[in-house]
Amino acid sequence: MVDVNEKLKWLESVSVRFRPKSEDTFEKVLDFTESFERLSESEKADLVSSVSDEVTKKLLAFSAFFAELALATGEMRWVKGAIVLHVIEDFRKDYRENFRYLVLVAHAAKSIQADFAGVVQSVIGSASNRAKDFLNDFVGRDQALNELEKFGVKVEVVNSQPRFVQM
Amino acid sequence: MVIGRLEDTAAGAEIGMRRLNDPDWTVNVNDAWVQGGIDANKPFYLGSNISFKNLRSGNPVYPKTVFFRELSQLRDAGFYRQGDWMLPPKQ
Repeated sequence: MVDVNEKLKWLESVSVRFRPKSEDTFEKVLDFTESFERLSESEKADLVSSVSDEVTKKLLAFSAFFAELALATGEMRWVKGAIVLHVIEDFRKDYRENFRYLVLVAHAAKSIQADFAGVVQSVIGSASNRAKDFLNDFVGRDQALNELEKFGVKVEVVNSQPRFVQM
Repeated sequence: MVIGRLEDTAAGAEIGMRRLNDPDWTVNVNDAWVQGGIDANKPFYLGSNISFKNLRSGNPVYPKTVFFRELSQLRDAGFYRQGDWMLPPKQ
């Protein structure tokens, strides 16, 4: 628990105004999600409740960056990490914001032929009841609603890297 | 009608105001819902404060929040702010 709290504290100091340049930053955030998953149920609840409003914005931002990394690398671990970030964020302020980012993750999963719904089910045991409900809503709804264009977003390749940009 | 961060619009909904809270939510659905209020000349109650943290996401993928988008749509239609309300343009 101490370890994951230290990682959370580190995350508070990371800027997401621009995409982090260091790969190490993404690996450390992914490591934070993996540490979170290893916590007991009560420790997870404690950690989720200790996340500040500023950090919730960073969790959503990194879920988008992870989706881009999944597209770039074809690695499913980024898809899973992105969903865990939403579990930690806990849909606490406005589920509409979560849905905007989950659309990116679902798109990345589809592009690399990963089973998005299956990955959600693999992490949903770590989620609060509220987060579970929203994740199930998102996965269960008509998948045509989760297409990028419904959210005014498209993928562009910038400096050889896939990037989500506004249409 | 009440707009803002979903957490904040719950209070408005409890006193009978309409808010968009739909599991089939998309940005397009949101735009259409706000446009419906604009076309009907309805006033919009601001459930959330107009503050940096409620308007800016702070990242390059989605720099602005959904609440920001709603306010922009209303301003583009000529709505103006009075206290906690966005009111239709004066005829």
